[in-house]
Amino acid sequence: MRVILPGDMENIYNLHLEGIDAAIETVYIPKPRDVVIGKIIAEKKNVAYIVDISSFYAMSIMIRGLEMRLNIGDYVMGVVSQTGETLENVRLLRNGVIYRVPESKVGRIVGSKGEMLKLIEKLSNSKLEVGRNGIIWIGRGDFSRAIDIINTIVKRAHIRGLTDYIMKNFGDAK
Amino acid sequence: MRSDGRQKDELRNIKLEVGILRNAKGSAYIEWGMNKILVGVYGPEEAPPAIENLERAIIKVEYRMATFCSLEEHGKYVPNRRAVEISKVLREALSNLILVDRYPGGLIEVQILVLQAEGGTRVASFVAAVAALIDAGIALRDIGYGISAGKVNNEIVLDLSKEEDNLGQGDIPICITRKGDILLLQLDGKISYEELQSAIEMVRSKREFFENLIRDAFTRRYSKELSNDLVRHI
Repeated sequence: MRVILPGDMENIYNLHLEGIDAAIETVYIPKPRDVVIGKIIAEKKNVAYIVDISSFYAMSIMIRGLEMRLNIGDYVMGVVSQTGETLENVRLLRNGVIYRVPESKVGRIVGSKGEMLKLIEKLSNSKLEVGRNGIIWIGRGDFSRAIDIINTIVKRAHIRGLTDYIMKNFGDAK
Repeated sequence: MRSDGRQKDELRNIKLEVGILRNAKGSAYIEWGMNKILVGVYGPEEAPPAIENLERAIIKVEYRMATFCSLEEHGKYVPNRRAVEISKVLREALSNLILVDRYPGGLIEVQILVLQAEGGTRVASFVAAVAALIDAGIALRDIGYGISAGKVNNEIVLDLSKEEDNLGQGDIPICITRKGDILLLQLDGKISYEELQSAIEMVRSKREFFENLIRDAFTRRYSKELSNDLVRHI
């Protein structure tokens, strides 16, 4: 296995492993139309809620036009707007477990066309929402089993044949 | 022949490990001869309004020497003049290596702790800081490395030890990128232009060694299944 360092090739600025597209470790930078999950950390009276999305700057949700009341400590899911500073289509996440993973592993957890995500949901009988920033909300079902599977994926994200590995280790117990 | 029997361009033994601190975003530990240095990288996080720059990230470097790291610094923990100077030059060198315009309004902290010092800590800190920044996932233009060249017995040599540094005729710490761009060059002592040129050439010729050093450190880290340390923020 070969490690690709920043500057080894054109337009490579992070650490990569040969044959895998995504960088091993990155810093999440919000991009327009990303679906993210965040925690409300403050409120500017009648103007906006401030949301921590574990990036290096916080997002805000404009209160004008919002149909619900949010509280500090709530977790919400939303879409990053075109300007990259506010969240749109906000939805409150109730009654679940929040779990965080490194942002660069999100691609592996979702899988191509969402296959891996469906597999986790099937194996742990749960409902998952995954934010592009690495925050995962687990809605119902077997939380600890879902977290076990997610941890396994994070630890082995750089190894091929992950779906088979998950099926082999978690598939038979159901 | 030098005091410890090395050749003119021979480096001391160097060992580099990455990803050893759980609570830092990225970390590295280097043993360079008798130097032992630990580096942690935190962030990027939102910079406080007083120092933030909306066009680029602010880099903060804190170089600290442990009270037990060497004889002269014994018993002092507050940053001394030397530590303040090294923090400043390393900050400027790293600011030119990191793609700072990717993180507008952000703050990247690099904490350097020297556990044991024996000459050439600023360049050793620089190599460890580069590895820790790569480990943290911060975008870098290229990898960089540094070696302190110097003049001992009227000859230009690489990687001065403490005695050579204190008793030699001059010392030139140089940090460069792999492509050869100079990030840091300090000079203390009397050295001619030709000698400076040859010192820079000698540092440039060590390019492959440092490339392999950093590559091997990351290969060791990722070649096996990752330990629990990677699952952060639980």
